[in-house]
Amino acid sequence: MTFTPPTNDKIHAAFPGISDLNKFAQGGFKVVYTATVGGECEMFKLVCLPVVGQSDEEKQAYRKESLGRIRREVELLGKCRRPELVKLGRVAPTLVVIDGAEYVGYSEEFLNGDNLWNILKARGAKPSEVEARRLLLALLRAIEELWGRHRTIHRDIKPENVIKLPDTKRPFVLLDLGIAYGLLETGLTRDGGAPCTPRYLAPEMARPDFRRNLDFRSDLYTAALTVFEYSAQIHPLAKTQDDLIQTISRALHQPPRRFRTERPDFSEGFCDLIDQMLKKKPQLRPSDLAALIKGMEGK
Amino acid sequence: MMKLYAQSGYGDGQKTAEGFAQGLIDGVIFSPKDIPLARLRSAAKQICHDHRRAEVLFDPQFYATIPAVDPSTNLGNLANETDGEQEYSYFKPRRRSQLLSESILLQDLGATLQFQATLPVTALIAPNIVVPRSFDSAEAAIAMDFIRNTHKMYAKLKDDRPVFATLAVAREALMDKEELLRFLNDLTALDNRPDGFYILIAVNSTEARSEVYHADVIAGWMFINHVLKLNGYRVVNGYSDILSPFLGAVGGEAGATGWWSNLRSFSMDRFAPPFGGGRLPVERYMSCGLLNRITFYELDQLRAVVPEILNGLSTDGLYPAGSSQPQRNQEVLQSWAAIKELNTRLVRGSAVEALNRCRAAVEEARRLFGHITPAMPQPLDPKSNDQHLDPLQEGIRLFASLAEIELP
Repeated sequence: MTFTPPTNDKIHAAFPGISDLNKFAQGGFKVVYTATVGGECEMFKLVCLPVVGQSDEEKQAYRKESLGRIRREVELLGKCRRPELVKLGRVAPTLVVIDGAEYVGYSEEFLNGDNLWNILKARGAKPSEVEARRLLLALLRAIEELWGRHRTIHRDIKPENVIKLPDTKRPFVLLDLGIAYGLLETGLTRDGGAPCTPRYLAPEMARPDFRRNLDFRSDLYTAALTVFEYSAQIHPLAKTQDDLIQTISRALHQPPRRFRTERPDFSEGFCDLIDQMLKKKPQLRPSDLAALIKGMEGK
Repeated sequence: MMKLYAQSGYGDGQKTAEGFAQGLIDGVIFSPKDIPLARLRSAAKQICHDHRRAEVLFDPQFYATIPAVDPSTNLGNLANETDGEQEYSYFKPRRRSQLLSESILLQDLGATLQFQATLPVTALIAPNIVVPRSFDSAEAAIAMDFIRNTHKMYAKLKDDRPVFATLAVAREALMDKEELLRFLNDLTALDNRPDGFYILIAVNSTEARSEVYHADVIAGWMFINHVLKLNGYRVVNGYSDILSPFLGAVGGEAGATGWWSNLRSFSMDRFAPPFGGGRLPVERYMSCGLLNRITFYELDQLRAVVPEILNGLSTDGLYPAGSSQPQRNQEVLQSWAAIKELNTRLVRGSAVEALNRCRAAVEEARRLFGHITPAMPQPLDPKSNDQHLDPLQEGIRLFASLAEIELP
């Protein structure tokens, strides 16, 4: 499902504080623009609240769920302090009606870089181990912030949600907490299904009882997956022509490619760590986040 | 390097001191049932003084708390009183239902750690009960509560020694892999982490070799070591005896064994009411090549025809050619030397490399047993034969599958 976003004039009218809207990306029911807010460039997100469901009750439930998800993402972003996570911008979440449809608009900081998926698609030179380690360190710090401070799991770490910046102090930033899952909250995705991108699915998320057993180790898995794919320019499991069932089946049953085989030029210790983080059983992934971060910082 | 500790028990005499003096052991685990408090204090102090790098641990044997409700339970020195005061003051009989109360559980946990803080030990071991039969049980929930609260109660002591949580599990509980995985899933996601775990695998009888040498038991024990190590914990195995190098291969930091059969495998039958009679067991020789102990008279028959069963260590001299019968109090020294040697030979490099060495050692043992059969006029004693080899090899295979390790 997709939607046609309103014209820029109508958005400007609904959000008078922003100007210079330029469409940056669109996916699902969300459009992302670059925009000027208070004289600064920011990313403006416009999320459509789709009318889904047969009965009024169903429609209301879906609306409530969508609003809840946006509220949660924004609240979480507001609480996060680490530079490895994207920051909120000046536009607070605002519910507006444009041409009879409901939208929520808010802004995040502008990150002057490209996401790892676009970089991967360009098929340039493979990154060095130093860069791969920086990427892992950034993701581990983000996971530590989300889990350690907010008891939240990101659930959608993937190359598309990581921005590479030309800044050695802030080389990578993790985006899109839209499906982050607080341990104490009830699930917000409809019908209880796993909400993340199948290609980047931690195996335990495909289990019917996944909500009961989910913790930050699912993010460790997808962080390792992201580092693997970015560094080796190949996914450790998935194949492009796979359908959904094949993709999930591989996540559940197929041993991943070995990172050491794909990047023999990388140090053994780093390769072993990535391979270990990609184990199917969460218990087999190293869970001492503080030690992991210390290990990455030490080199 | 995998360390070896003396699993101290009744009748230590000079065994542990001699083990340290000869460099055969790296530490000792005392058990209050078998030693009065005053002697424990002086022995621990002496070891710390004489061997600066020695690990001195105290297993509080809290797992006897539920059996202790039955007055016929043999608590040994755990029940000692001096001037009307219980020496091991932390120990009280408890019903399972009492331990379901958080306040009682925390009280016992705090008292046990506080008691140990006054001892000259190098690390503290938190109390726990044995998880019987299944991880899907009230006892497993109690055990998890003890573990979850270990660091919290330890932090109140402001003690700078490491703290180990106890994980004591009946062998039957290792059979259900789904429940084991679920338990380990919780265990490895703890917020307040102890420094490590003291692992005990309980068998029903220390005399039944098949209780320990069962592929599921071996695989489960190895898997616990592996998972805990991967998750940043130190792992000390009590009563691990010959399995020590197999546990070290996958992440264990230390194993332990002692001089009686009830110090070589862990069983709650040590608290059963004492019964009279019984003969002293025949002295045995621990063969690295066979991965097993054989009787001294079997050694005497075989040492010339299958010399590879000898370890080639200085402690072989304790079994003199001609009779091969050692002095009883020196038997354990030979055992420690052999297991230490196995630890050194097998526990090196990555888990895959060490596992491959373990597999090769099992196959080598099989080859040696093949030479023994035609050389012996009668079958080996049931405890001396090769029935441990298939479970060992299958246990390694099962472990590798559980741990998602591909073995060539």
